Amino acid sequence: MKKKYFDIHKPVFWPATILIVLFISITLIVGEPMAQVFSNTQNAISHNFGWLFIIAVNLFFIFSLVIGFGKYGGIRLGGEKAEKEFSTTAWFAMLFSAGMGIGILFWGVAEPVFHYMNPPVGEGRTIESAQNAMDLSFLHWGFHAWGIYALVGLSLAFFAFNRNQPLTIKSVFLPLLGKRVNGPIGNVIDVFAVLATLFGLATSLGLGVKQVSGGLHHVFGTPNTVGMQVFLIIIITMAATVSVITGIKRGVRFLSEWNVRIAGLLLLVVLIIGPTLFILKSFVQNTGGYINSILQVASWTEAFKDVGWQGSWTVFYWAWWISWSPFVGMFIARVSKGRTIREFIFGVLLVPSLITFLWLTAFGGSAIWMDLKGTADNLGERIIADESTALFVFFEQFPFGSVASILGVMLVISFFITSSDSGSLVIDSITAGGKLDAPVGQRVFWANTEGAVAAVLLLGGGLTALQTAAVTTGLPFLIILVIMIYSLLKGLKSELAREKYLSQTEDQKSYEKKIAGMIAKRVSKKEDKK
Amino acid sequence: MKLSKIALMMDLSDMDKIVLNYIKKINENYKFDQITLIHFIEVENFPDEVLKLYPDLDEPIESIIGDELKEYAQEFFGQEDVKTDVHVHKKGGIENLLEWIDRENYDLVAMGKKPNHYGSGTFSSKVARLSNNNTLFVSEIARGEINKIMVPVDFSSYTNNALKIAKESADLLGAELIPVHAIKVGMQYFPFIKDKKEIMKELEKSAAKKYKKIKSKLKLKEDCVIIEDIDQHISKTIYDRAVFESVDLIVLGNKGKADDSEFLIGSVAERMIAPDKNLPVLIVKN
Repeated sequence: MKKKYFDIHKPVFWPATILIVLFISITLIVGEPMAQVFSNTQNAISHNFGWLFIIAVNLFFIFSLVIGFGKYGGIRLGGEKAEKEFSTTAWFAMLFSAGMGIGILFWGVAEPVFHYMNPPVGEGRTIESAQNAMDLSFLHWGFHAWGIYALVGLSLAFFAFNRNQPLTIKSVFLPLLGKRVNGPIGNVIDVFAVLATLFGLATSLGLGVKQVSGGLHHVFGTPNTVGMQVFLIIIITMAATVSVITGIKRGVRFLSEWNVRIAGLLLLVVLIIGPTLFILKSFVQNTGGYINSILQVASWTEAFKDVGWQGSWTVFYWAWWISWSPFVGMFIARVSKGRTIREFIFGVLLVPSLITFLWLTAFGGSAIWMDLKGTADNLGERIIADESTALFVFFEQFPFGSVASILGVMLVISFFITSSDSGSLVIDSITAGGKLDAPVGQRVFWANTEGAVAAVLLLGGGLTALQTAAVTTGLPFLIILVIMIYSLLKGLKSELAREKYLSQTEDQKSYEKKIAGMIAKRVSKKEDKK
Repeated sequence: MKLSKIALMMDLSDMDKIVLNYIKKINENYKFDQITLIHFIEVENFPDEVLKLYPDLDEPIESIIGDELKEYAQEFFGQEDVKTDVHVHKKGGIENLLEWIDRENYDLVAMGKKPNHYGSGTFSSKVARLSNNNTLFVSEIARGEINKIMVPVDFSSYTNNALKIAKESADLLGAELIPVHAIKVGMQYFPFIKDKKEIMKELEKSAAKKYKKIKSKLKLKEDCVIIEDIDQHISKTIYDRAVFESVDLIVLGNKGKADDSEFLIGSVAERMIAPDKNLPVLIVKN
């Protein structure tokens, strides 16, 4: 029976809520020293477990290739006869929009320029460091990131559509746990999924609001302080709440369609007004360079000379993507019914990666090019002075730069709202035991919680706190993902065997004869009675 | 975990009576709570030629089959103190049927098994492989008189469950429980062979040690019979032994030690339910 106001799965909802409330209150009560705690935690995790993240993420990427192109590639999500719900073009567009987000707006200019100015090895501001910068940025945003999403998305889709399980993380562990998935272990897994999603989301929201604040400061000269950022979170969360109440069919859909359009427009503007030929040429060169250096950059662990660079970049990204993975995974699972595993892996790994590469080349690459050419004074320094204003400093180089900046701010706000709204949908469905139509009040609750966590993180230590949140919740979830590989493999193996047996057909003729005989017997019996 | 909710797969052939008789006999001691007679309609639509033969049918074929099953239930369990019902499954193919059975939480799915009858076993072999429930195969010679129950033991994770269910049946039915463990002296020992007997002795000793643990854990009285496997599939050795001991029922785990998830049931279970074997078999799932 559907409950009207409150429909939760208690063993997941309450532990998750209590842990979050505990986290918020401790951060607020401890206050100032909390920033140090965050920074120490992040250092400890990336120092001690950095290698684990590096090796696991490589494993996820290789695993998805093996699954996609090996003997399981032919398995269709939803069973042999399942039909596709979306055309391939629409599917690509949705994968693309899942990959686009606040992150790429925030880091699209800042990250390549950062690596170019301060490379982990060698001298900065040179041609070599420029190429290296692109390789590293591609690494962080490329195939490995999408390998994580592919693993989670595929697992969720397989167990939801081929095994009729609810669309929550614990369902993936069916082959390992059997009926115990619905017991305490399953609930613990789901609690971790909720925490990871929430903190991953809060990290994005925190970055987004920093950028909005930076953009407003840059264009209108409003103060760029933590107080302002918290104020912005409150305003934007209120807007997100309105979007949640209007429902997924209207609010989010409208905004996300426009997000993609505006983002596409911005990309086009940069492509046309910016150094067009350079962008096109270097897109090809950077992609090739990345593929060429993929083994080296993807397995580099700062083993000989540890300058702590990797902890704040690669490990942070891997942890961030991992904590995002339930969110993105659920979304891409939802839209991928009827695809074969081969199509799925191919689509998820390739399409979003390539578009991201184009974005990074157009934004970050152009900024590096401008700095190398010396078209503006100290462009590199001004970009890396504050990552939240990097995009707007870059836009300054264009005619009508402030129009582009305002467009950028609006885009970040709109991404914020859609992430918050769809994130609430995901968290709500996990805490409601897999239901997708839980009462709207719960989604409002989660939307506000996400805003609150982002605000508290900003108050308690800014960017470091945001990164710590992602890294800390990413670590336990990393373990869950490793087990997920094993579980998915088990499921796929038995699926192949099942298909073999299900395809055997019965002898229909003899069955029909048997039934006909039985009917004859009954009919004659009836007539005897008469 | 007493078996109490039983599903009987009825295919409307002569085997049905044998299955019903068997379960009726066991029920005298077991006292099941509920017995459901299930028929699965294997075709999507009955062709017109069949329907044309009976122009004055006043009800759909499903309900005719349902009536037939109700008569069976009345005939066999009408006098007994057990709840019976019938279910005719039409929609969605065999996967859908198995999901339905899973959802209904049956403890046991029983069905008939004809020997050497080509093509009739597809349905039961699918159920055995794809269902998550314990499955009982009643063979043509089975009469429900159970005096000896054999359990092949390989110390895998499935062994304990199989032993538990077998013990419960042995206790309730007053039957003798015979755990057997087959030892295969593999070729891998060949280059290092000291003495085949010596290796056998070592393997026997380690098996006895492992069995002792299970024995005290499950509070069993019986000792494990250890047999040596001579160059054939282990299932053949076990089956021959079962025939030799005139065992009435073999209870075994879904999968053995060496079986990967690529196989839906283990190689021993697979061969025990093959058409050339005649003894009733209960496959215990986890």
